[in-house]
Amino acid sequence: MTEPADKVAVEARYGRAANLWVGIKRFGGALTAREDRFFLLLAVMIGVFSGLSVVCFRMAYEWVRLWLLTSAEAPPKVRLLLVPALAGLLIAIFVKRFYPGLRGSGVNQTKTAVYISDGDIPFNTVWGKFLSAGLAIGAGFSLGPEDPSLQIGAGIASVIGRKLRLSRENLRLIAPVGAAAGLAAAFNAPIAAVIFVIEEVVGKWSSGILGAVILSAVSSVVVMRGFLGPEPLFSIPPVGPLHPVELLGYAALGLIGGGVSLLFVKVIVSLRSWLRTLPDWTQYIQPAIAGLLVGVIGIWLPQVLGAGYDVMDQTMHGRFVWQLLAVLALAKVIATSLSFSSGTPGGMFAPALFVGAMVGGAVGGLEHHFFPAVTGGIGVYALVGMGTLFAGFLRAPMTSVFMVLEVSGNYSIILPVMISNTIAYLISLKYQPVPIFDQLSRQDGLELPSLEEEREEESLHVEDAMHPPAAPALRAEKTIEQVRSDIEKSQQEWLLIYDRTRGWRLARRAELLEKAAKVPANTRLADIIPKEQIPIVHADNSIDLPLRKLGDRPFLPVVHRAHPERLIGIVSREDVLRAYARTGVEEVAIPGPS
Amino acid sequence: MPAGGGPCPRCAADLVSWRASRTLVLTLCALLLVPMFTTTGVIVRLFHDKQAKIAVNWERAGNINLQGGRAQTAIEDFHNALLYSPSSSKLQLELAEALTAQGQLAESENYLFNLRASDPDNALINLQLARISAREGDVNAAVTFYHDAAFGEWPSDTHASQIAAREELIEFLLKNNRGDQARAEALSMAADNPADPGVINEAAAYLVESGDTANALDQYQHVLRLEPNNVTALIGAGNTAFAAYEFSQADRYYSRAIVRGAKTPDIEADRDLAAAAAELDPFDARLDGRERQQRILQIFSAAQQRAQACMPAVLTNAATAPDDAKALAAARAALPAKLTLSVFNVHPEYADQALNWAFDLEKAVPSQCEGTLADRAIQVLAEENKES
Repeated sequence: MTEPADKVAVEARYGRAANLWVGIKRFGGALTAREDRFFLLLAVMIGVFSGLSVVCFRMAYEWVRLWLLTSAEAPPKVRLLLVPALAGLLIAIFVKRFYPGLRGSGVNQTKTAVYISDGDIPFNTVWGKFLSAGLAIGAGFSLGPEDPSLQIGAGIASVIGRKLRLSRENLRLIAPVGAAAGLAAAFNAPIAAVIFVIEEVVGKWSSGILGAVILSAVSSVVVMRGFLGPEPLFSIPPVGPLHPVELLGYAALGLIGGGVSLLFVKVIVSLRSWLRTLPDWTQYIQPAIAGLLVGVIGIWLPQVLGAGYDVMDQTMHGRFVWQLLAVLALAKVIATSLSFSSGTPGGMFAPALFVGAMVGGAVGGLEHHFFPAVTGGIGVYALVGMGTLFAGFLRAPMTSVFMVLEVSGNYSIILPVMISNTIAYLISLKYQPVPIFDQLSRQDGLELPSLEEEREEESLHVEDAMHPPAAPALRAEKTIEQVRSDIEKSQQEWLLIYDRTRGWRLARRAELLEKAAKVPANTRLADIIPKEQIPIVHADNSIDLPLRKLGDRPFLPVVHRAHPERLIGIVSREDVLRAYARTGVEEVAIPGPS
Repeated sequence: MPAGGGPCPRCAADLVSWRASRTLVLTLCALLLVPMFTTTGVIVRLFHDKQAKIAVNWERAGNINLQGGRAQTAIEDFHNALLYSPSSSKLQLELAEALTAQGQLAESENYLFNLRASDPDNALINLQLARISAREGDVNAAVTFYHDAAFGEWPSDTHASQIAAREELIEFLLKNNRGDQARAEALSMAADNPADPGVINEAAAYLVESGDTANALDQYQHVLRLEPNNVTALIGAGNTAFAAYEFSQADRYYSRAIVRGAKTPDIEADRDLAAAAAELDPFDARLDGRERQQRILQIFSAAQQRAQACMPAVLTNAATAPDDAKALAAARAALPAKLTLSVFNVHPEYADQALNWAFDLEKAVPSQCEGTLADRAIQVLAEENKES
């Protein structure tokens, strides 16, 4: 019996489609079979999506800028007075009525997602951030696109992760993967983005997360460069040889940069804190007033409007005299503080870089004025200044170094960058112990883990808890006759024995004496001690290590790293508790003896 | 993630369904990328087109303002253009030009050094740097950049641009009293263009300006060998020969130039002067003693007539002559009242005395008292005498 021709055709068509789906399922099944492999694949996909989104975001605020403020660097005054104010009003209504979660820092919002919401970032946050930050930056608010890009990336990752029903642990990890992708695409600097996310959001270097973060960052940058070109953010002027004396100049930049970082943090935190004390309804007009004030500043100093990357680039080419650079730095601090504290969505990365470039350029210009023979180009100072503020203001010292190296592509400035950044970081650390992101999250009533505080916290070690052994360790190769008197004289219940081939053993004194009585005197001690090798610890180990290794043992031997047979001390559960109590360190839950 | 690998059929089914749903989501994501890439591509393309248009508009405005002498406005325009085309070398170069014109040399230099780092052989960049170094008075740097410009890569019309850069360098060196270097550059320019009469003429003119008339004459003569009727070379050679006190040669070159069409009053006057000087020149090596004395008599006679017309006091008693004429009157009084060849035969020392008196007189006569062609020729000969 033959079937009608059209039915055969339909079956053939659907059969092919079914085969294709089976093939995709098989391929997908192979890729998704192992969670770790799948996670890496997912990181690439998130990177691609984030890269695309960041490109669109950039297009959005660039178009808005063109439409609202014209193509001139110094827009007409009327527009400067109207556009940021009206945009601020619109943004306030948008944020207050529809997306209240958009206020504040994207970094903190991503951390909130990681540490509080199990990696959950609603998709409307992505849209909301895209629209509101795009409008704000385009309308001239002194805010940067990196922070929103980071949050957009994290949001996309979170959405994809939820759709793929990732485990809770992986869902928590996927948001930073997206954050790195977003930041990398916004900065065109994958290394700096990876380090920032690890340094500030994740807080730990594990191979699983690192691989995913790198893959997502790289793939997003590849996508971004595919659309916007491979050019770095700045065209860096050539860097000449560095005069050794000039390092003093960079040290001065570090000092001044540290001071400006402190000022910047204080102004933002104080202004934000004060604005939060005002009645709730004022949140509708705060961005509008901030926009108006930013517009007024922009009439005289249009350079402070928006992210300001072009101005930074021009500073590196010596466009401005040092006096103007100093004024611009101050104006940017004010404009950014107004913009950010009013709750307008947008980031502080670009403004921090801007202030850093201006401060660097001003310091370089001033030094060049007085010491022209030993001072290099202003462009290098501006570049180093960016890293300095990044280290001092955002408190990301590693990121700051790599960011400068990555955007400059020049490793000859590594010394000035390290000197200046370190000084600024230390000044900021000394006089502003709580980093800005943590201060902002605390203002919002959130106690997010402070990764810097964790980093800087003094940790206890085994050597802080151990005490000297009451009796020397026995040697397993000796005969019972040789060690009998030592065992009998010992007052300890437990004795430590070192076996050259099998490590450390722990034995009850009574059991040892009992066994020794049953065997000939020339029997080796090794033959009667317990077979179980006990864990050892070293004096420099963290104090919590003995707790994890002790099990039901009364104590552990603390031995020399180079001479494992040498007993330095012993550490017990009680020793650890006493050490914690002595230093007033927060209590830890210690399992009781079994 | 559901637990997998267990023996229960329900768990296995869950796992299969879970994997299938993941595959579905991944497939959908992959499919979603297609419209996203397309849309993003279109948006970016539109934006880049818009940026390009804006950049072109600002650039055009900048060039108009720069040409109109409004350098500051041009700088703002180019800055605006660079916002939309930040990597454009052309724009950066134009901005640097505007900055240089406005005297903002440091900023201009920064842009140029940046451009030079990526394109060290670009002649336009090097030329701008040379001009800045020249304005800053850094002669050595300027020379280096001019050389790099002259021998660099030009976007168009390489030969003419190279020549122009070298000429600019030579003029710069001459202005900075680096005559030797200027001469070397001019000779090198001529040597590099042995078949280009225009360039060689220019080089010869610079050689004249640097004081190297001998080499200048050689260069003009080289041009005349290539193009015997080259009027510029003929005039240049005439001038050079005249400056070298080769009056007969100068006369010949001027005459040939006039024959070839250079009939300006100046050239004709120069030719006449050269001819007169050649006729009167007592220093001509080809003259014998008698002929030289005859020319001295001619010169002396012309000077006497000039003195009669313009400074009669020098022909009177030295004691009664005014102060400014006393020396000349005394010198005249030391000579016989009438000089002839026979007087010179008896007193050959009178020849030089008479000549010197004539030269001194021609120099002393006030310029308002116009002399004849012979007088002007005597003045030229006096110059020659002074230099020798």
